[in-house]
Amino acid sequence: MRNIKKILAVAETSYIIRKGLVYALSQLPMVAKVVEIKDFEDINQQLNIIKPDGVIVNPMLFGHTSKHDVKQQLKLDKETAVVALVYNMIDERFYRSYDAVIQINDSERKLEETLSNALNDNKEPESGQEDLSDREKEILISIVRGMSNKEIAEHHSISIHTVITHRRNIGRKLEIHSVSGLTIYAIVNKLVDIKEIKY
Amino acid sequence: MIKDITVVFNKSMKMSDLIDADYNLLLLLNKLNIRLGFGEKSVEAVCRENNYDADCFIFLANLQTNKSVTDLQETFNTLPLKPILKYLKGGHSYFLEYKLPHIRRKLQAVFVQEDTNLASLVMKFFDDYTQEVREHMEYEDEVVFPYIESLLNGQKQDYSIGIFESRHNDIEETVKELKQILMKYIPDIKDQSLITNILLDLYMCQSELREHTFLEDFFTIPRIKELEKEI
Repeated sequence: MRNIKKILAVAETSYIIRKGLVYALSQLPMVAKVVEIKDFEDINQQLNIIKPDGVIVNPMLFGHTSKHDVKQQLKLDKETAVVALVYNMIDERFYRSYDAVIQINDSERKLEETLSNALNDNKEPESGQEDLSDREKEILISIVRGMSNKEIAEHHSISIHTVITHRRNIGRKLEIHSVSGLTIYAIVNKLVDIKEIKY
Repeated sequence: MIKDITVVFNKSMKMSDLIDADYNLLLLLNKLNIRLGFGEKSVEAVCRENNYDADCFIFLANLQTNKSVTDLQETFNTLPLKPILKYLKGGHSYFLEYKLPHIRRKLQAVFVQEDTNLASLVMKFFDDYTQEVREHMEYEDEVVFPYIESLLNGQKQDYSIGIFESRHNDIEETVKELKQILMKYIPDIKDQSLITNILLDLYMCQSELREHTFLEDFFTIPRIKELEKEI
């Protein structure tokens, strides 16, 4: 799940702080969108609909007593990061069940760092450059030559399912999905000769 | 875009202050056929002269600039729909008659200096895309908008907005792809300044299309569904 932008939910009662946080979060490159939770009565249900990658929540919403499992309380699965939004740090132990803590005077950079650590935990490390593998290049050449999935499967002696997986990975790596776009890529990178293309 | 100024717009503001707060709003004027040269006049006065609903104008300006700080949904439900349709139509002719042909001319100027095979592939890609956008928008102009207009006049037609909703496809994806190709995969383009300019155009085009679709899908369609129930 690398390079995929995150959906966040913010549960905070103060209008000023909620709006400010939503805006600050929405400006981070890793964030796809931020959803505000204004109504806390049915917060579990709302989270169930939003299915966020991370929830930023003011621990005071739950009162002082609930030091235990916040995720259980919000009925969230383990994948969802829960981040405490803290005005004044009380006691470190109080925040133990959260994946991270944001304090209201954190800098922009600190905010980004905290979130990216909390959200990318347990995920495979970013590999940075994602060039096509040799196999993917071969498949790409076949696609560009106008072969169908079935023809490609036969030609390379692989299953159609594998062809589809390769196609998806090629699309993801290059961020090009259409055959005409892939054709331009293949020509520029000299994977095929223009004469081989029928269009 | 990073904005230096955050202000929620209202009708009594000077039009020029509104543009200063977000110069992309120049395009809003352009799509609505509102001419420049408005001097010190307020938004309301400029709209009146141009025969455009000022509340709709303010909504569209806030939609473009202040999504995160205004309650758009609530405002939208109080607005007349005809001016909104006019804006959507204006957007269509802006893309089809101005923006896309303009980008095409620039692309041609860049690729005339490049390998002819590559040039024809890129131009074909762009032309196929333009055709896709044209079909998408013409369907709206010829089928969907007339349907909405007849609903507004209280007449029920043999069509439903649900049909539109289900076939309303994504015209942003291809622009994104073209951007990727030009930016990441063609390294030795001779006219780097012009190709940069084209990329900026494509980025802008993509965000304009996104906003255009957003207005259709999240505001207009739900409102028409309500209207269908009433008639």
